[in-house]
Amino acid sequence: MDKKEFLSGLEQSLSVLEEDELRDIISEYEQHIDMKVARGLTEEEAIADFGSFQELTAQLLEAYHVRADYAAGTGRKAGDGASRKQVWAAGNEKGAEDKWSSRLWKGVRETVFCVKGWLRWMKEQICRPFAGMLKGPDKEKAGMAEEEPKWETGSPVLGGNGGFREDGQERIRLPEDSRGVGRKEGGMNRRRKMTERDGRGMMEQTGAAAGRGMRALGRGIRNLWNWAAGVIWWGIRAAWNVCWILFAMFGVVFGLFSLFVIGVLAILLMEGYPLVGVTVGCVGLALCMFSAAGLGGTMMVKLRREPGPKRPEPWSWKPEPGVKRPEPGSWRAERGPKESEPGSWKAERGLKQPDLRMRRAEEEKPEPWSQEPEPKRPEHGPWSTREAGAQERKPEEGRRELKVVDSEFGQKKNILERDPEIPGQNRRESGRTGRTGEERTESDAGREAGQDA
Amino acid sequence: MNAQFKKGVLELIVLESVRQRDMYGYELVEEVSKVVDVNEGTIYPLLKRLTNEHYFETYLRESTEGPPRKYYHVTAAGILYRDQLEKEWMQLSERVWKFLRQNMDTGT
Repeated sequence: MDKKEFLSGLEQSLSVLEEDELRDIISEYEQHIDMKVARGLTEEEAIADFGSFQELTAQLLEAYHVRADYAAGTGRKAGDGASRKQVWAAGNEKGAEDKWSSRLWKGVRETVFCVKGWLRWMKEQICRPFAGMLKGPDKEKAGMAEEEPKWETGSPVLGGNGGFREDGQERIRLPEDSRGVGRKEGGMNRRRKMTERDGRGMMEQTGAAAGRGMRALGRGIRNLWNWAAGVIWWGIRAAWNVCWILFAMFGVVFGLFSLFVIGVLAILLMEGYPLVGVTVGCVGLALCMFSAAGLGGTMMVKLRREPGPKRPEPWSWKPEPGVKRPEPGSWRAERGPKESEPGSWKAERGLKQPDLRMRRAEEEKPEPWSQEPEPKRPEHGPWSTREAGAQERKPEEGRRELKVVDSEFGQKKNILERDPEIPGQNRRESGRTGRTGEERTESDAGREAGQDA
Repeated sequence: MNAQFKKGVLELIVLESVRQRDMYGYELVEEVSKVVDVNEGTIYPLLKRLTNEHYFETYLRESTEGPPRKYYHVTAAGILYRDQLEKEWMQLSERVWKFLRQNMDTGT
């Protein structure tokens, strides 16, 4: 397996991940392979050092809390659009269901999918009796011989070769339960499969196809019904709200009118007319009207808006070429505040917020501090330096500022980079005590843990 | 070395390596390989997991040899986690060592 195949296989297997994350992983592996090649290894050797491809992808998916056997459970490839949609839907199912347009679109898609499945099944049923007539047995045999099973390397694509796959030069025995995972339709010779199947297999296949079609039809109907129910509910709610709005407006108008009448009656009362009872009645009427207005306002059904996740602050995002802004409502935005943002677990625990220094560094960007001589640093280790850096962060001589886009929220950070050409600068002192790793004792670790706490 | 041993202690080694200094993936693989003979494929997923759990943060740094490299930097939470792992490891190894010594003494 060469680099291209490996990377394309990796991309296919991890296609459930966000595009940016996927690019990030691919580029990292690509760089790793390039470095190994630069040191004299071949691409195949470099890739072989990664070990089993399946294990690698499974571990990567596990790092994102995605089930590696998700595709096996559904019988679809990991990169299949439908399964991908389901994975995404698992994250924002609630949010997606709240949108009628998405539900309508979902229903239409499901219905189209169902109709296509039924058409395909009918076509197979019609064409099956004529398959043998169109091609004779010899021709069929020749067709079998010329169409060998196609293997796809670098991905969990399997054929009917007893659970073996071809990975470059060697064939690896795969576990029993992974056979058939992500099998591509048309990868095997279809006619060969058909001739090998007995009547029972055909019946099972027919039943399975019919079952799939029925399930898809059921899903389509359910989604359409959900959409219709959503529209009806919206109509009822709108009518209810309109009624109460009119009621409230009525109360406000008559309440104001009552105030006007009270004013007129008060003048007349002062002139000696016997209108005390009418005035008191008008005051009561005004109170009733305003109360009715308040009631109308409270009886309106408001859209339920749950407290949404904190989105990246406006200051933190500046468009960067090649970087997509996380869409509101996406899983990126719903992951909650970053560790350095207020309200995060880190802020609650009173831990240091390293992003603060990044912000300050960004604010102090125009200052030509890079030309200034190296400021006096405290004698203690980098832990204290980090804390002090939150107060005043000035880079040393020989450091450069890098604009970095954080992979979590696409936030832009300024990173102070040490110049690799200056020997010893990239070497950070070990431990917060400023000693090397070997000198760091257990008591130091305990003391530091106490400081952290 | 036993694969299960390696698997358990790999996180600690990676955290300690990155705590010493910020490293990029390939460099880290080499560093870890000095300590334990580990499959390179297991390091990157581990790095991803630790990053997703906010024990690491990443940044890009330009390189003269090619495209910018992604460096891993341990966060305060990562240091706490590393200290916790170290403590657990010390306790475990000490207990196992005591147990083995005790059995050896009893046997002799």
